Amino acid sequence: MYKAASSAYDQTKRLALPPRQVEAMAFSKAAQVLGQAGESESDYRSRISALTFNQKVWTFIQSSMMEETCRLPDSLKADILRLSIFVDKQTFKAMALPKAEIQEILKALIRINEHIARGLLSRGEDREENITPPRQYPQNPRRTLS
Amino acid sequence: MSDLAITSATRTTLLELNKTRALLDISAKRLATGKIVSSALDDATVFFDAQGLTSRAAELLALKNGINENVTVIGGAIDALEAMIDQIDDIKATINAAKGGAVTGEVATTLTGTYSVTSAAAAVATEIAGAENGDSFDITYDRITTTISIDASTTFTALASTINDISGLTATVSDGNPIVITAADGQDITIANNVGDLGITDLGLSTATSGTTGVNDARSAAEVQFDLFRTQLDELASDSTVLGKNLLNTSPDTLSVSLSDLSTSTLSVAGDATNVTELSITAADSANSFSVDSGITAAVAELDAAKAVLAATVSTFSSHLDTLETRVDYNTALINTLEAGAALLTSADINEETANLLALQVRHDLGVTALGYSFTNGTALTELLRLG
Repeated sequence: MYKAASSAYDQTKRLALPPRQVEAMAFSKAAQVLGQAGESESDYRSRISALTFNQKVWTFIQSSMMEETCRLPDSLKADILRLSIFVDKQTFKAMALPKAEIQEILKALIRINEHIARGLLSRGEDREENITPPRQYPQNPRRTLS
Repeated sequence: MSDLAITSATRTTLLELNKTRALLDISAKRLATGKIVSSALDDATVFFDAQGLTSRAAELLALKNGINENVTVIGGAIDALEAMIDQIDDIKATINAAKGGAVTGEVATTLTGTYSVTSAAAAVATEIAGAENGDSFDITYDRITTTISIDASTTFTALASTINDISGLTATVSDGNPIVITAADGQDITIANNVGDLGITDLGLSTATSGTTGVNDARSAAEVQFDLFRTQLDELASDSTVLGKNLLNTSPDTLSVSLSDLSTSTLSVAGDATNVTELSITAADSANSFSVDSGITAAVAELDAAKAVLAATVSTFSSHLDTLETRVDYNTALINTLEAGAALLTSADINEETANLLALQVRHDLGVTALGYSFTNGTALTELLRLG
């Protein structure tokens, strides 16, 4: 899905695309380079490059959540912020680890991006019956609220 | 001797290969991050000048780049330390394999006392005016110290017999002659007073170093490899520089990692000088030769102790990384911008499972609740995609 989206972008880069679509492409491209970074032939440079690129996408999203002009519902802003913090921390972790130990982190980051990209590209066709995460998702089981 | 040269060269190559592998990882980090991080910062500046985007985004990027750099330096130090541990395991096997090898060409050490015994069957305390019941002296040989003592009736013969019981030493005494102690393997015999001055003054025994230990190809090769290993260990430390910082060399750097762009909150990570001197790994020279098994055993004991120190250093640096992960607190300010901020703070740290569920929730919300909304105005990401 993301490969098609990125090449579509390359072909139409002179057109002004709706922000929602640009964002979907950014998440998709980040997922794509993260995937390539996880391959056996990838070198350290490409892993750092992929992680940094993904972190940049998320940083722009993160700072946008704090703009007064951001009109998203509060619950969505909160979820995005929490995800962005997770992305940051996983990125810092991955920077110190050798290739063999970052596969799980890369997979987690790719999965998140794919969900977000699909959400951005959807036109409301993802109804309750298709994906039904509980609104009250469980808290992180390893931490308790004080 | 030419066989010895070939063996050494082969082993040298293997050690070099191991070291090179470790250094390649570290060098890759150095080369990669040097270029990428600086270009990322350049890009960020270009973005913001061109797009007039929020300085908050620029600050966040700069902050995160700083954290990334520091984390990479710490990662490089951990890589170097783990390479050192691997090298210790390698060299231990090499020198242990040389134990037990028979040597040739040894010259015995002979220690002759200056006091000529009148009657070997006489009691020492009786014949020698200054010697008393309870006097003793220490003989150190092959890294073991034995205390030789006399009572009121111990004879010279019995005294010599006790010394003779020490593994590796022979001792003789007879009427009209001094005590003679011999170490066939050529190692030193050291004498020290313990109680009274029986050894040095009364019997006239003094430390003897006249002998020479024998040689054996495997043992000699082991010494060569050991010296090479010591050099390479130090090089691993001095070569672990990443982005101009080195946490392991003789005057190591201290990292000061900014954790927030809105406060002066920092994490300090001190370096830890790591080299053969700090780790007390002694060179294999004449005083610590591998021509005798006790020399190899002593070296192995030093290597094991060094390994424990290195493992502790790895652990310290790893826990710095964990601390850093929990202490980055720019996110606190982020969450406080939301009305429900306070409640969210307690659940700001999530694991992978929760992250996945959150992402699903966001996907759902984007499709239903927030239909049509975007996160940004798209401009910055357009630039990012063009450059990335």
